[in-house]
Amino acid sequence: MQKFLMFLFYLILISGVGLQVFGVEIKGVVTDSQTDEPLGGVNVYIEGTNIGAVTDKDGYFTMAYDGTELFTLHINYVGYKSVSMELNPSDDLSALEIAMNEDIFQSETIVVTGIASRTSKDVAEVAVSRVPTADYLEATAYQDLSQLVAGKVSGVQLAPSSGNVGGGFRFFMRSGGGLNGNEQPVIYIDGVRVDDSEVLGYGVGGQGMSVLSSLNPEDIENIEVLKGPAGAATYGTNGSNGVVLITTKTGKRARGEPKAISINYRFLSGINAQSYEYSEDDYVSAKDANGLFRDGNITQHSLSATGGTNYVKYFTSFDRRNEEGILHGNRMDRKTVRANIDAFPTEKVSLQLASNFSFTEMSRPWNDNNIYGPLGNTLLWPVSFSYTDSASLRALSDLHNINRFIGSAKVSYTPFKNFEAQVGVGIDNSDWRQDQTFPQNRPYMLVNNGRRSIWNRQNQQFTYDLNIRYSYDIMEGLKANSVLGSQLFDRKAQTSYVQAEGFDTELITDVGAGADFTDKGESKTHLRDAGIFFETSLSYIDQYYLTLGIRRDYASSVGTEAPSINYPKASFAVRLDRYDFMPSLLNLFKLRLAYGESGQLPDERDAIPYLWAAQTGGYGAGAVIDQIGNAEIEPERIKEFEVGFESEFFTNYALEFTYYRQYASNSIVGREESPSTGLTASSIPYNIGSMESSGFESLLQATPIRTKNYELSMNLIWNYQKNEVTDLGGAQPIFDGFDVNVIKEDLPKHEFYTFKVKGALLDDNGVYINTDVTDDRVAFGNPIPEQTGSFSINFRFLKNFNFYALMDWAIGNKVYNYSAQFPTRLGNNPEFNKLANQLDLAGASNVAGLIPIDTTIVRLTPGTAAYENAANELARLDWRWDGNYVEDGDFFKLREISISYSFADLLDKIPSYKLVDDIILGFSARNIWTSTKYSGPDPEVNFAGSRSLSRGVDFLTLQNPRVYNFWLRVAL
Amino acid sequence: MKNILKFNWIIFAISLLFISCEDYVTDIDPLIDAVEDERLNDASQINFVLKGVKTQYSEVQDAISCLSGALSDEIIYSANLQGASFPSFQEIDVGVIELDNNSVDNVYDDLGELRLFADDLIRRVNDVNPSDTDLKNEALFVGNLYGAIARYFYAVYFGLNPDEGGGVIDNGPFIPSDDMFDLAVEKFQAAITFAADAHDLKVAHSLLGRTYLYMGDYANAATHVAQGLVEGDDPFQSLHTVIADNYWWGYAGAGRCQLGVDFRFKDYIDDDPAEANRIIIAPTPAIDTNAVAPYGTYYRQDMYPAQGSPINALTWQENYLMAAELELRGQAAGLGTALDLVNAVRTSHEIADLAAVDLDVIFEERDKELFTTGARLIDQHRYVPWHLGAGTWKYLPITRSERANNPNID
Repeated sequence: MQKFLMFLFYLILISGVGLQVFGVEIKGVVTDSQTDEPLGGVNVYIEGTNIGAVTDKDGYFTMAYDGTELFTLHINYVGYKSVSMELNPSDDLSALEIAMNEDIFQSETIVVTGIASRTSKDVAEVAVSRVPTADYLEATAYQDLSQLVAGKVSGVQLAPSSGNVGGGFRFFMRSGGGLNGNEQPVIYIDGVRVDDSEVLGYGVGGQGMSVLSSLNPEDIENIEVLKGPAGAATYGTNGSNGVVLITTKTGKRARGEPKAISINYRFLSGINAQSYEYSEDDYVSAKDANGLFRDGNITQHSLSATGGTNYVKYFTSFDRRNEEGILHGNRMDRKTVRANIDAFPTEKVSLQLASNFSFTEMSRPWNDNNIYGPLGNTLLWPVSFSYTDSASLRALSDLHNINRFIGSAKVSYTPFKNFEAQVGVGIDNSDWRQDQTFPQNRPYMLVNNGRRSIWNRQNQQFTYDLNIRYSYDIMEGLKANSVLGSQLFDRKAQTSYVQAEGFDTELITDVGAGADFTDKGESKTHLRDAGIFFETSLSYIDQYYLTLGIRRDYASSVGTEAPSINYPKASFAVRLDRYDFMPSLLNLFKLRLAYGESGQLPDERDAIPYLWAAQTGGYGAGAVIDQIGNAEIEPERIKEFEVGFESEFFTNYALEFTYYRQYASNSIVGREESPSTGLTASSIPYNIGSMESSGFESLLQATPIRTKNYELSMNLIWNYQKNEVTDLGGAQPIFDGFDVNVIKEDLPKHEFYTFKVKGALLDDNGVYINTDVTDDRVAFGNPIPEQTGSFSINFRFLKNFNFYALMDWAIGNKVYNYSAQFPTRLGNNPEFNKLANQLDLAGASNVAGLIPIDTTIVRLTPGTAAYENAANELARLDWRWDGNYVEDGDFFKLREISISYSFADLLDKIPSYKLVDDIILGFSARNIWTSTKYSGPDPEVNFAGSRSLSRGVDFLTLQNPRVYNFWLRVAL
Repeated sequence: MKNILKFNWIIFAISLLFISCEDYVTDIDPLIDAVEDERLNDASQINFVLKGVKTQYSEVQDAISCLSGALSDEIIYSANLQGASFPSFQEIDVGVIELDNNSVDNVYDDLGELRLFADDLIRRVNDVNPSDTDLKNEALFVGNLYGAIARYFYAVYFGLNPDEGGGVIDNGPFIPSDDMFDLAVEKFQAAITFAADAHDLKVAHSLLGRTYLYMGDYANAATHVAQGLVEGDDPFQSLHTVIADNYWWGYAGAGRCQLGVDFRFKDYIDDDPAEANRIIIAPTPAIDTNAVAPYGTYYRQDMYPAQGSPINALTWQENYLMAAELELRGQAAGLGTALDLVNAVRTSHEIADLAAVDLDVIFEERDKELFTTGARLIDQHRYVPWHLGAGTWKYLPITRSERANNPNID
């Protein structure tokens, strides 16, 4: 396999050589209009031909043209506004000087506006955000996909649920769509709908591993985000939480002729470090907990090559990242190989191939709700390692091996002018194996003489696309573009697992060496969905834009007979800046309105009334009810209306704003039957819920300074969202496992909803007798922030230094700190211990039965103000009432900083180093500083991973680490 | 004309897409880990459904005996037990139980399923009406016997209020213990008519006799106890495996110990070491040993030392102790004198004979003999003084989920 990959790599490298075409020379130089700096890597090509060139690092290009008629020369460069020039071959074309204006707002960038629709952002009728990932990767370093999106896209919240390397993360788009699904957007990579699961396998307390951790961020060119049904309607069901479209790097002709290839190498060395220290003011055992942490090493080698000709372009990369987490037992070793090829065999046919292999080994730490977790063993009790001794904890292992292939092929055919047909197929295939071991020679509760668990998962996803597009003029000034297409999706997932205990030796861990098989089984899922869509876009005098579209969807998980669902969309935009009365300071002012519908599919088995499974036991295998469904179930429907604008003013400033409202109806609510019916295997799904949500998202960009040696650019994102569950159809509120998060009518979803402590109850003598609480539950706030935002600054100074920083914040965020509540009961909260002793409750009463008696603490006298105050303080820390531990989780974080230096100018002065285009040396850091009232380590974590109903619950969950990276990039 | 032709082609292409999409999404692989309900309506599946009832019973028997033990004075909870962490156990131990106590929720849900599965088996067998009468009778015996046990469990272990025992069936109104016992009796009597062999018949009689005993109907109790298990008969068991593990092992045993045994069981053994033959306990560590002075350690049950240890849910020894009690209550079952019966039980464990018995002795013998089988809470309802304060729950509460979702319960 390795030899084959090497051969493939070599083949791709040499394919660029020997295919170049030379002719009549057109020469020129491309510069930045404002700074006069030459622009390297600019794509220059002649319209309607395969003839083109790429500028070298000094901005020069050379190309050949053997025609005699007038032709159009296009000059494109990422981040700059395109330039088109009408040229005559008979003129002197040997010294063209082309100045390009920076496209601050990326308004001319082509963005996705629907499943088969692309248009430039300055005329797009829906809100679409684009992350120029490659630019960020130039400035700093990222561990995974989540870090490339978080804080960089308006209207999107994204946070990992723990500090586990390779752990899961969760999107929250706008107001979270409707009631159903897991609130996650559909993710496409190069047109392939990819698996974004958080995989648990045999659990370790709460956290899963993200399938997306196998992606190499270095391969990503850009990420586009459609945030709701208004933009994503033609993606069909499950587009209600938006769509994330990831485009990987494609081949670019090497900078400057006759160079055949550009090579990039980056070496990164870094450290994951503990970002928060537990305090002895909060935990008696804080020192033991802090002693668990280590500095985890990070090493990464990234090698990529790109190049090509007018007929074939390629990008290929190899990346290896080795990373240790901040706790023993957490590491990742990821190897990825990518080969992307674009071919243009004729002027009518183009072919795009993308393929990525990844081989990832991960080791997951135990934590969260778990007696084998190091945090649980050091934070719960004043005496550490009460459940499991420290040596036994370190001997546990939870290893994951993931092999994944994501590939796509797309053919575009243009048989005649204005007509294009596209056919695409995409594959996402992954094999996941987990090996979990409790060594035989160590004592573990609930484990008999060692345990070995093996869990396998095979996931295959196929995406098929077919669409035809026709552009035509209806009348003078009125142009139309119609697309008819179909998309098919096929997913098969199969898991199998086996677990054994009763080993006689620790030397053999083969599962077959265990005397007792304590668990075994398998599952299989096969889902298909299909959609047909039609969309027509009209543009009138390049000022008014209207799109109408509809998608008809089918899915195997919708009812037993797979009814079809229609999702319409309509959008309109007008370029107000093109009216004469608008002030000239407005370079762009576009108003847009959009409406779209989408939905969330029921769970795969929701439509089957009663499903029985085989449960093994002492009597053999017997039938037990496994799931209760509803044959009438349909998808939830979400309607979204959005209105907004994009503007550019004073050339260097841009503002984007979108207001949206979402209405979810037919929401699937699981109705609990009373246990006396015996129908408690699952809740029963009905289309009886609804909710409403609204909010706005805004992005302000500014580049106030832009000279040859200095450039300052800033981004400010501010989002607001709110939602409310308006109807549950009479069903009971739905609580999470800890009975604190709720889905309830008249409250935002996931609201913390529990009893509130009013104070201490004192008897006639002033003695504490109990804690006084409200009769009913009350709302405590929400783990989804109402307001989020970020501010980033990029400052290039002394020409070759670059400084970048990103800070973000959340307001209206609550966290349930179960990590503080549970230890309070067990005597590990010094403040509570002191109060219990002052009130003479320690060691005796229910509330303080486990609090050690400390005779050195002065007892307070009942009836005095001091006693009453202490009693009220104790009531407010009473561990029996969850509401005491719902805390304010607002935060402000200095999330990313980096500084780098480019040696490009220095290298230019050394003739013997002409081979090397650039060397960049950089330092970056992440999670540098946090300001929050939250008393725990990290207000962004969740003990039950990234897909659970529980939200914002911190229960012995690993903090996100502080990360330091040093890196060196060499461009050849 | 040309445009009309083009239009027709497009309509034709779209129609094909519609049809093919619908076919495409319904052409999927069948499930491998579950089956739709109607496919079990076949004689060949009766045995599978029947085993499901028994499997569900084992899910309930172990948990309910453990939790009722925790509510009674048999089992104690302390967070000082190394391995303890569940506040839900603490609530049960002190009898101050929230209606959403998740440990109670789980066993209450499981009991509801046991009742449903048993009743469903009877319905399904009658619908399918298999030609194999042995199979049909066995299924009807199992459906009735375990349906009766489910109702009996409601009657003795659950309650609507702290002092008001009883349960609920199929979204109906609350059924007080007395009425629930009647429903159990009806089912046990039906089971007796379908019992296929002598042992099954004896088990059904003993269980029915026990039900009558707890109802206070000593005459009927004596009638059925007399036909129940006798010395040498195998016990009626709840079977467990390493997969369907015994609840005691994982929560109150060798696997993990959050619930220890009351120290009197240690005292019983100290007073008479032969008691260790039937009261099997083992030391289990405390986090703070000073808190368990003078014992220095906690003790846990070791009656069920492994995941797969079975529970003797009914033994000939219990039948004899019932017979002994009935004799003392004036309703001899004809199995022997109360003293002879008690001593027969003791002898089976190589424990010396007693010289005399009265009801106090009987209940102490039951305390020892029926250790960790779920009998102690019932005995505290019947005879042994309640050990917790006023207002505490004497039953496991009917859960919030039942109260919230059942329109017939307030």
